Amino acid sequence: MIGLRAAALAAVCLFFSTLAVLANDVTLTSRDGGVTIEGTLLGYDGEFYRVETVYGALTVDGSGVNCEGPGCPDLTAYVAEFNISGARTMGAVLLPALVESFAARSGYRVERKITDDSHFRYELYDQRSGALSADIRFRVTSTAEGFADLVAQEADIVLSVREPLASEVDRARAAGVADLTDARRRRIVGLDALVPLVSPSSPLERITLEQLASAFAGEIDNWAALGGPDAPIRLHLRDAASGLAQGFVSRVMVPADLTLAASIQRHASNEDLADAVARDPLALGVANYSEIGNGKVLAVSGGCGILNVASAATLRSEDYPLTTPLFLYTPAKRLPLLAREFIGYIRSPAAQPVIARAGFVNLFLERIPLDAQGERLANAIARVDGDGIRLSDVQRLVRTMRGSARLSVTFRFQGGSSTLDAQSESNVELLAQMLESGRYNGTRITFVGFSDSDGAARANLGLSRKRAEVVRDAVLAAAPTADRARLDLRVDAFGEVMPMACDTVEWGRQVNRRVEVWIDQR
Amino acid sequence: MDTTKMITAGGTILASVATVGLMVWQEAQASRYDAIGEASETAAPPPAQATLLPSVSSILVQEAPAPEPAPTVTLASLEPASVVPQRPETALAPVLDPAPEDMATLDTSIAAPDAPPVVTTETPAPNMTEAEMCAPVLTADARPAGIAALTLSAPCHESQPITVEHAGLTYSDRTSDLGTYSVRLPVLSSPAEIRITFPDGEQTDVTLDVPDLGSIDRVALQWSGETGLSLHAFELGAGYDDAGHVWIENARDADHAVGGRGGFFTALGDGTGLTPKTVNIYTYPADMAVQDGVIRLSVEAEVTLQSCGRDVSGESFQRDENGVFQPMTITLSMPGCDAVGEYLVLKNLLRDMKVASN
Repeated sequence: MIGLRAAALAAVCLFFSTLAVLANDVTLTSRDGGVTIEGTLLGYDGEFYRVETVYGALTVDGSGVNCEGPGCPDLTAYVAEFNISGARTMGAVLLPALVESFAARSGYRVERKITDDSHFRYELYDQRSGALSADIRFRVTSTAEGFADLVAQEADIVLSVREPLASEVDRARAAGVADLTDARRRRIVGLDALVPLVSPSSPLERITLEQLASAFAGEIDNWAALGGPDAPIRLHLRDAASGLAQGFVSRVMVPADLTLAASIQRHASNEDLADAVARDPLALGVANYSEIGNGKVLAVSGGCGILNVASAATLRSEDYPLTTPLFLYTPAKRLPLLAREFIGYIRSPAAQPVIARAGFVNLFLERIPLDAQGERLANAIARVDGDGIRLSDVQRLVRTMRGSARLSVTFRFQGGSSTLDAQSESNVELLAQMLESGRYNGTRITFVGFSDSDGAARANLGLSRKRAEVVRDAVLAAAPTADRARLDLRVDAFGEVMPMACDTVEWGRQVNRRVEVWIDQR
Repeated sequence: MDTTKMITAGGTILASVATVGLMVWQEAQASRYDAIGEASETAAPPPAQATLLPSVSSILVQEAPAPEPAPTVTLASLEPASVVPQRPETALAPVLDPAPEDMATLDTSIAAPDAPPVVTTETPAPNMTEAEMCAPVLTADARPAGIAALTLSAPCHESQPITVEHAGLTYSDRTSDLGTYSVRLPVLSSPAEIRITFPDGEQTDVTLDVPDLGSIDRVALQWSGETGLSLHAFELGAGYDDAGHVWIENARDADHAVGGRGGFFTALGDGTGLTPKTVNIYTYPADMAVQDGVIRLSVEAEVTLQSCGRDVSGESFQRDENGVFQPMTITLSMPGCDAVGEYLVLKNLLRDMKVASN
């Protein structure tokens, strides 16, 4: 549509005077008077006019034309209106905090108009003129409701804690709203994770995902089976419509081929869930990393001795298996200028402290020094069997790691395919931005491939190198303006040498198949 | 803020009920505060007056503390020395004439043989004018947990409504019969600028450093008129009416917090006037935390005959990502009048406080 603009303008210029016109209510004239378009105004978003003309609908950059006629919007009175709808996890605190800080930074005074906790609006007033500039309406319900609102064309930004279901993709496509599988339709705002939660008085420290699944299926119903006291387990989970519960089912229950027990106590909010679990020493809940309240988080284990603990670093690197990116989905239409500025702000460095303060993990690139990698080095040494993995492999690993730090961005592939998962795709963009900024010019950056231990060690080594090359190429392709002459990008691979999780379980193998980014520590 | 609407709503009703109704309501407010031992600090003896206004206040110290003073009686017995808290133009006029600004005249005239000794030991500043005697003096001390202890001496503004302003917070209160006022004000900035305004427009202000402000977390909610709003904190898993449910009816004080036993609640504003300005503040001393956890904050709005079906406005103050308290105007669309007596509970309006023990 936008690409057509110049051609359309030229065409209008040539033929305008000779054609009969519709019931036109606007005339757009270029600043030099050379081009004129007449038509019926379809919309104005603060930046672009959409005009129905005899040539069809045209989009015209508002900064280049003057508008005359009864249909012209009052430019000073233009109010950006848009609807934000979806997951409570994101809509309760995070997005409001982002709206407020965006407004403060952009010179708007903000008022919050509340109907209840789920329905409220923000009015942004220009600090100088006092004029209303934006009306941002929130509907805070669930991820599923957010996608339903998108299909009904009642949402301009969907808050989602999971990727859309196939049925949601189909409905959005059928309604002509958006192709939700298109990466341009989604942005990751921050990170969260599913965490097993118990009361602080519980002696338990860890649980396997298999045990968690069995407990939530009702197959294990006594703490004694998990190494606790002889007492019943009381289960807590969010409501079935929540993205959290749906994510838990698809990521933990379905792989275990189990279904949720009917006895689970459901909660309408993450806060209620965390509070109920913290109060009951016999409770076992699946909560959000961002809202553990007064509860105690259990480490996730794969049964081989390696523990996966949720932390900012393990969420950023996706080394924690139940990391859940927080998505914004937008329809395939032009949002008001202020809405686009707001979305741009959310991904900017300025917004990252706000995201962290709201309890979520932000998208800052974190350097993990060698000192903080002792645990996984121990995993590597434990792996040496003199056969597939030799001591010399580990020694080469240590030589390479020495003097470098691991960046928190890590790349993983969807279920063994060569397609990056959503968080990794977002990481490609993040890393590409850093390369383009020139911050890493002259610094050696190594893409380091790792694999699971399925199959022969030699084959795994080759596979992990291949993956590292794929990621390097993807990052370079996403950074067209980076100064390649000053970049020092390398590829290395270690196969199955340094596992981050147990290879005895599928989710562990998924965590282990990865490409890390190591950066020279000077 | 939609104060005008509130004024009309509340005002019409109050006016029709007449002054009696208003006073009943005021008393209800006053007793509510008294019950929690918090707000009526105006009745407390002014602690540090002597340093404020030497020639006047040392008399006050000897005279003032009576919780229910009867100024006219005191006047009769000690006159004219104890007149100081009284308005000069009324109480002192006959004595001071014909040279009211000349303190020497005052001195001789009050040095009557039967005057109390306290007066004779006083050496009032020579040439003190009426304006100088009337000038309100406001002092402030920083106290633990981000508190400014304010002391006002305004001898010519006795029993008057005052407006206290600080960093966007505004509330209404009243000076004592002696023109004094003291309060422990949880501050939102350091240096903290605090201003008190009298009905005649006169103002006095003070600025002080509050060094430990960075070590506490705090949230404030303020409103005008009778909105039915209230602020609630639920500490570390506390439920409604548990010991850890901190609100106006379980306010605690700063000493409680300094002892590491949790946060405290401060209600400011005496609720008088047609649109009294009220502030609710909850403070948690983060550096005193003895366990990790979360403090849930909620705002309740009671659906009243005044508020039902209308918009109710207030302002919230929370720290932003840089630790600076940011105000935000909030407007609540209250449920209809069939819901009178119910509460609109907003659990997500204020960000919960995360607490980490050190």
